[in-house]
Amino acid sequence: MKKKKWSQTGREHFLAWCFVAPATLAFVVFMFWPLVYTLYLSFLKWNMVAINKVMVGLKNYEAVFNDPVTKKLLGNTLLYIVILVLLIFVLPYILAFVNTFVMGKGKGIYKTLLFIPSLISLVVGAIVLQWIFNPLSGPVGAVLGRFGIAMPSWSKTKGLVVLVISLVAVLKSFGYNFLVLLSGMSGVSTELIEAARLEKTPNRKIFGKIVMPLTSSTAIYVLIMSIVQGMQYVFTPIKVLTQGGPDFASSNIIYGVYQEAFGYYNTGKASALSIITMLVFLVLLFLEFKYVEKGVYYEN
Amino acid sequence: MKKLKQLMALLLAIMMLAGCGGGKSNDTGDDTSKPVEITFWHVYSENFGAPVIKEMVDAFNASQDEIVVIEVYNPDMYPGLMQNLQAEVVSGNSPSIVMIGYNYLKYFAANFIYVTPDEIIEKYVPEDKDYLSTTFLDNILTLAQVDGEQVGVPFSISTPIIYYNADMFIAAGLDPENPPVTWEEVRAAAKTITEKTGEYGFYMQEYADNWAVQGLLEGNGATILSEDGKQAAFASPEAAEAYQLLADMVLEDKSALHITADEGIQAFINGKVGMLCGTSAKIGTIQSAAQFDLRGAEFPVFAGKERRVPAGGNFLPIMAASEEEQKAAWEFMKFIMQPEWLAKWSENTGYLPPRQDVAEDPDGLKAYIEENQLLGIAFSEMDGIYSWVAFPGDVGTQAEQIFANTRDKILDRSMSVEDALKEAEDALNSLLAE
Repeated sequence: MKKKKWSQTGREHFLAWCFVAPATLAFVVFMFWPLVYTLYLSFLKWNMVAINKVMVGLKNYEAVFNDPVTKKLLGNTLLYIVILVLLIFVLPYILAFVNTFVMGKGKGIYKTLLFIPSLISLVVGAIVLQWIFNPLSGPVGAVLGRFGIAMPSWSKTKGLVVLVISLVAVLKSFGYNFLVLLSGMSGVSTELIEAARLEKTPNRKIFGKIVMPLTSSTAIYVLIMSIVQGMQYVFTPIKVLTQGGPDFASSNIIYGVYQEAFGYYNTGKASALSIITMLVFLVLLFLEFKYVEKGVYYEN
Repeated sequence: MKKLKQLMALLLAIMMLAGCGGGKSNDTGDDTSKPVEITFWHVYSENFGAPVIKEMVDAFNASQDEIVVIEVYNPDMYPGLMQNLQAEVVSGNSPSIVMIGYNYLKYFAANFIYVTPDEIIEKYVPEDKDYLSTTFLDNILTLAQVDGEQVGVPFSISTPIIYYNADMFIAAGLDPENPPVTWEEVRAAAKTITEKTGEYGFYMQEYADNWAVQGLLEGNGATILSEDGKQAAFASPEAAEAYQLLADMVLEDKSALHITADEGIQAFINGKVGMLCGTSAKIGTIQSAAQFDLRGAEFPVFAGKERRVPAGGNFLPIMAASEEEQKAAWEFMKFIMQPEWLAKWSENTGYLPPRQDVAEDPDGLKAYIEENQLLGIAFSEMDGIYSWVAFPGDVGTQAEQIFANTRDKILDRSMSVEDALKEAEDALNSLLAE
């Protein structure tokens, strides 16, 4: 019976299409169609309710490129990415190494403790951090005050506001990334490490020369996710805490698109900005595949 | 066996496809004996206002059997409701009554189809000819007018007031019985508090809008828009002088705080700021959390000048299309505008009612105001209320944001008051000219 089935390739194909259809349909309806529609909207001047959609050609793209705010948004986005890559990729990578190969006792406790903050929702995390960092009535301000340091009001200080908002995203992503990297480390054979130890190789070298190359496939996944999630996860705290202020100093591209579309009802400009964002990320992804992917080690 | 499997796979696929369509078999039977159904969209959640809204709706539904009102909650306040409304209107089913924030007044009027209360009265209920003019004060009615046309009926009103910490006043040697009246006195009091106690003296709420700033600037004789209402006109010497006072408090005296609204209110509640200039809609929140002798004072004035207080809150336009629904919506509107319901609404939320007689009505707020000094303060400002400026055209919300950003530029010293106002005015006018 089984043999007969394999020979009937036509039916097989049909069945395969049946199985693939639901997922494809979902993708087309919820991913590709909106993408095409966004492209269409980016050539219009329309506020989502007006009956007339005015075709304006490339005007929206021009407006995006000529707007000084766009530069700010791009700069902030880059700053967010740098901070987040450091805090939710590099730091957990090192800690995962320490937890797996250096620590002797209490590994389990640390794993749990470091993961717990991921369970907090972003809105709650944002409000808790706002309370903690309140320069006048928060605990951080009080401790700094003891040392005679006046805490600046971060929500109105350029640069600092980006750092504090990033911390909310860190709260959310750190634990998850840590666990993923930890599971990557568990794939490294302990014999290699022990052999290196016998040679009195310092931990720094073990990490750099053995563990990093062997876990590069996990690491590259976490790196990309950090960048993508970092972009999205900072949206919530921006919306809750500063609404992009002071003077766009905490806004990133995603929040900028949201504000154009649902704050100002400039559907066209918002779509143009999001198409440009998508292109930027396509280029990044291309570069990643072309250069980074080659150096990655996949076990199988 | 094989056939059965294939059949099942196919069925599954078909079922999944079918799941996406369908569900459109809602029959609206035109049975005359059936009550008219109308929907009422509002923005109040369970912990802020919704219980009273539900109580109103239930009481109205129980009071007669011709109309059924269905209340619909929209999260994320006015912008959230606006987004949902955009989507509903595009798909062709507008709600019957909606709740619109005053800052969306012009945008709503320019982009949506609605029926004015005057049209409804003229067409169906001529006996209500004088209802609006006898029920509401003129300056309250204008809050919901565009070019003289009454777009909807005002429902909730909030005004900016001064909250102050009487304990800190005493610690600084100030008299808590005589809070500052003018802006100059506010500045002096804030300076004293900072010098004597080491804490901040003053904070004016900094949401992403210009509501409180408008009160400050207009109080000094400035206007936000030009006379024809088509252009921004806030780069005047009067506006600069008023804004300069706030800037000096923050930058020179270091007695006023420059921080986001939530943090500023937290700091005030924790006794770290002497005076808070903020919306009366926060009375409930602040009262329940503050551990000190909390009192209120009226929004400050400039010596010798009139008090100008911008109104926050919302109004209710009617979007119902058919005659029955419009009549029903009007009935419901009159029902909730009764003093006892408005009083209940105010007690629960801290909003002011649109009718002044609610304050004197024994069924209304009389007793409550006598006990609650802060709400009394907000009430006494009612006759000085003016519209919260809604920038004209489609770019209204963007204009509001640009104007709000000038505050950050001024208060972090990156621009002088005159330059910042001029730059914002130019940016707005070129935006409005498009």
